[in-house]
Amino acid sequence: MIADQIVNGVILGSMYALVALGYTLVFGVLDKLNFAHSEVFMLGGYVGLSWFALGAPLWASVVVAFVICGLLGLFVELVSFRKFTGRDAQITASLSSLAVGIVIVDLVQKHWGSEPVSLPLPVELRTAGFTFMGVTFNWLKLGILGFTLALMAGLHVLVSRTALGRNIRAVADNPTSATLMGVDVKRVNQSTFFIASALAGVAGVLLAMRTGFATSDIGLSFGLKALAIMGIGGMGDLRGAVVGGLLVGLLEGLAFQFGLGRIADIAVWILMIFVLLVRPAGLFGNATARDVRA
Amino acid sequence: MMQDYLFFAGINILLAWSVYIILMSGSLSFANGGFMAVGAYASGLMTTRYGWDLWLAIPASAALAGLFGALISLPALRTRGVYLILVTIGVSFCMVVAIESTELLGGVQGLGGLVGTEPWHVGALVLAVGACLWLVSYTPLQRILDAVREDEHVAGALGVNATYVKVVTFGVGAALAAAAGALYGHYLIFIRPEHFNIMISLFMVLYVILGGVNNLWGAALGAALMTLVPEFIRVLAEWRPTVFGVLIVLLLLVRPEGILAFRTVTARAGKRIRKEGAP
Amino acid sequence: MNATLKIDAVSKRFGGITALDGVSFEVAHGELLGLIGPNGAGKSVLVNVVSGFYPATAGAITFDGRAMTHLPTHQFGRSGIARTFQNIRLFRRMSVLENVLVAFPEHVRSPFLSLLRSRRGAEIDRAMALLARMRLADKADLSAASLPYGEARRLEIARALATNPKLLLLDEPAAGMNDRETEELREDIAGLRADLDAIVLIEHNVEFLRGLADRLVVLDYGRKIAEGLPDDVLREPRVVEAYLGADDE
Repeated sequence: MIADQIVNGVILGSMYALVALGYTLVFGVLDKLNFAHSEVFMLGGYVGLSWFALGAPLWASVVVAFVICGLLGLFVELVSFRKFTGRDAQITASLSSLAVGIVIVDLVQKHWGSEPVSLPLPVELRTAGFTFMGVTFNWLKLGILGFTLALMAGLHVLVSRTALGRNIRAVADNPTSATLMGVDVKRVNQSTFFIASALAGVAGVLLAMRTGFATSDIGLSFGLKALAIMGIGGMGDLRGAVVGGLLVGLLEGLAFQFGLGRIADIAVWILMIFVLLVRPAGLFGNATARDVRA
Repeated sequence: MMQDYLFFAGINILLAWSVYIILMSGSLSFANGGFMAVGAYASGLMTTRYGWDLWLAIPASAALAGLFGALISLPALRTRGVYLILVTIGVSFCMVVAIESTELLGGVQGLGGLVGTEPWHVGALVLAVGACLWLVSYTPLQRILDAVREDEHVAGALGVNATYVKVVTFGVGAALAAAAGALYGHYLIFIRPEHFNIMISLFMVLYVILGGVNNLWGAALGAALMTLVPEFIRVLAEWRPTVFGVLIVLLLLVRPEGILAFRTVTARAGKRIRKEGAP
Repeated sequence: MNATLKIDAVSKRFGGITALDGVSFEVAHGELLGLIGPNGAGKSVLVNVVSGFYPATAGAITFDGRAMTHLPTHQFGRSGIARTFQNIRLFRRMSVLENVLVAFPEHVRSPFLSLLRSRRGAEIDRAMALLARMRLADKADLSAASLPYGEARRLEIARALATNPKLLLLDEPAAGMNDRETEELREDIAGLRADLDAIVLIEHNVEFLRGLADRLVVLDYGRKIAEGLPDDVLREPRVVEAYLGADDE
């Protein structure tokens, strides 16, 4: 039983990590919180589910969610972040994106209703699996986990090995000097938003596959937890988002196992507050606030 | 009913001011729904369970929430503003769960029997708080708060203990949210944890941003507009979140500092300059 | 030497970078000390450490006999150390007059009590006197953001003076000024000496300090490489090599 919950926790954690990566990517590059992110993630579930219901294969539904959410990310960048540059505008941009998030939720509820919509996955796909050393493994869950890990690996390669990744790191480091080096900051911002949002959209579909339904309150519950995970891992740190996501997934899995269902729900926030008290820059952040800002 | 609308508009103005007060020193709080809950539940408990007078219970619960708010802000203020935002969101979530799992507070079922608030009580508090904020806007305190908000490090170099200023304003904002929460609870008669969830905190912040972050009128205008207008225009009520959201996005693009963006000038030298005949 | 400020083996490291490496010197009562060095020598870091912006990684700072090293920023301001900034940091949302009013010590120390004892007329007079001294009286009601470069720098000095300091740290006050403005600023600074216990003037431009500074301290790569009377210091081969040579490109 505990082993089952650990497996579940890892799968859940990998999805947290995928959403948290989007928050932290945008924060790393623009130094601003994108509050619309959790709702883009929520929308991803609905988009994938609708295409699947229309008869599209599963992989095509994932691709469609990837593209549509990525494009939505570009829109968010345009209306909520493009104009608000500089440290002064940190709050303004965040709140504008929050307003976009509210609109997304309202429109989703108007279109799909406020009750959860189920994803009609065939029974054999949901239940097929095998037992290994007394732990039940489910092919669907393993597939989700594998796919999530592959996406993270892909993101790692993109950021560390490609020209785009180099530009992203340059802007994250210092936008002014990146501009002087000839980096097109606007393009980098757009790419960042596209990648972050597209990954969130895929995470939305994967979660819908995992739970069997899409629901409009997932942005506030699941999506905002990813924000806390970013705080735990260290703002703008990709490793931190992954480690934080897995940590919280496991923690919730175990809390659930021991019948602490309600506490599991806020465990991530308690952990975040605790981590920020002990290490104000998160687990992987190393600079103290006083050193960074003059 | 007209009376209800005005009551809720008044409560929302108070809540918007509770966010505005914290914002005066540069912090953004998404925990004011939680402070509101402290006020409503604490005063509810005092009046229904221990038989306190409502007019004793309100200040007592406000003081309690103020202390709580200051305690929360104390460690969080050591770090950058963004982290404080995360911490306040966390507090909002934890608060609801904490109430839900506390039997004394009625848990998920809620707490009932809260009575005693009349709409004019809220009106009176709005006037009193508004008058205080208006008076403050002409004093040295306003300048110090503005300095901390604009550049707390420079304010620190001038000798301002920015942490202390921020903790106190956080506490005062929390106390005001709690007072509004107590009045609100004793009007509703029955309160439940979801009355104080993260969405409430979020909307308070949006009222302020919409109306304007630089003066007390903006926050009040934002709250009043967003409460009252949808009540009279049916379509708006149905599409409230979308209209609200689109309005904010557009407004921030046109006026990044809200509808009323001016800042009160705390002192003028104009007369003196003319008198001395300088060019 | 009867010193007001003592800097004893102060080091400052950021991550792996050593910005200041065991710097020691003293500032005497009544002195105007010039702090020079090429770009990146650590001058601004030193100002930030001495004004409490950065905590020193090692070493000790003593001001008027008080150990300052581990105190928070605002204690530096309250002890009588005031500063200006290389990249001007005025309160841009406020008027020129308010930028001075905000710094008066009685309000800075207990902002919430300031509600009870505002002496508005007298305060404005005091602030106007400081503005007049920095030749800004006619700009009092303008927005601080609207001031041109030179005036903004002078307003920073007026704001620093409003804290009633003993020691004033000026971080490249002449940067970006034209020749006439620079000359006027020299006279302004010379005029301040009577009211201040000491001034530390950070400059990139050595000519500005000639005839103004009593002594010079030269930094290079975070270390002190010379100290003494201006004419002596500027003749030292190490200084010429590190600083003047580099400056000519």
